[in-house]
Amino acid sequence: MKKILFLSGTKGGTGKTTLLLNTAVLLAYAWRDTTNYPVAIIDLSPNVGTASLILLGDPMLAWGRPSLSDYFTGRITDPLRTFYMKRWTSDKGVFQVVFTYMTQDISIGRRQLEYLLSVVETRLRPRAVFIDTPPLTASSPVIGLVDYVVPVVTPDVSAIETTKNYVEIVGGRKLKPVLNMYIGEYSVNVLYQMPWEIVVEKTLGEKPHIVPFDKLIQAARQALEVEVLKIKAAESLGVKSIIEYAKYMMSIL
Amino acid sequence: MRLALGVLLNIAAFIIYALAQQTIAIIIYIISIVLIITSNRRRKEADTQEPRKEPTPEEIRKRPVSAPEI
Repeated sequence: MKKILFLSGTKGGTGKTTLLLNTAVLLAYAWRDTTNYPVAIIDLSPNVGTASLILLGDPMLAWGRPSLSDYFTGRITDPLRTFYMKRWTSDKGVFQVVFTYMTQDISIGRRQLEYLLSVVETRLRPRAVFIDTPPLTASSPVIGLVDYVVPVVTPDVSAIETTKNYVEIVGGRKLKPVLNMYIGEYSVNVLYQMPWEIVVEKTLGEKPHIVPFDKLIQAARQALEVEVLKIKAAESLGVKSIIEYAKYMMSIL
Repeated sequence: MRLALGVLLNIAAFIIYALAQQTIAIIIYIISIVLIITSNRRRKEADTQEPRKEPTPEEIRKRPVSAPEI
């Protein structure tokens, strides 16, 4: 089981949840015949994260059910009781992801998180577990627990710098960085007078994968839908680029 | 292009009529009128063609789930 984290340091709003959810769903589809639960998503964002909201499909469904908040506060001892399954039926077969979420803003114990991951590995046996976190702090419990890190930045110098710092702190193998919400008309950083691609490459050590800003992705987000399941690559450069990144991840994992 | 040719033929039809070639002039005149009218219709069609409409969140929500293209 590979543990994967999409990371933007202390920055929020960089699109890491969108990228995480879409790549998780793409891998779940691609691996649908290899195991029962190919992909698990652990959503550590307090008050029900966006990824969980989209998987639940209805904000009201999140409440009144066992959640990770119950596990981290000790009300539930078996973390698997907080997992749910989202299944899709497409014209090419059925596929699913399992996921869990937090309903409250409470502290996450490092040992509890380690136990949660070990239970997922031994009982669900997914090929990959995606961990979605709110913007990190130096004391984040995920530090040192992940196998792969995907740095996600936007054309914003401070986002790139903070991501660089946290990539080093979190550990794990660094995958190709993603330059998200890229606008071709503003391709040059006026501060450094060089293209954003080069700024990211110089800071994070590798040429980034570019995901262009795309209105259709914003529309799908408003509809609480998984973009790659409702928008074709032919109609959205953003979706096309996310699919390309998922293929890259498949080749690595 | 079609309009310019139509106008040229139209002028030519009047010149030929002045030269007493009545039958030929009428034929050329009719051709010129057809060319001018069809060029106008084409232009109107091009003007009324709507730009490609992007789906709204509501329309995206109503779409069926399609197999990811991976």
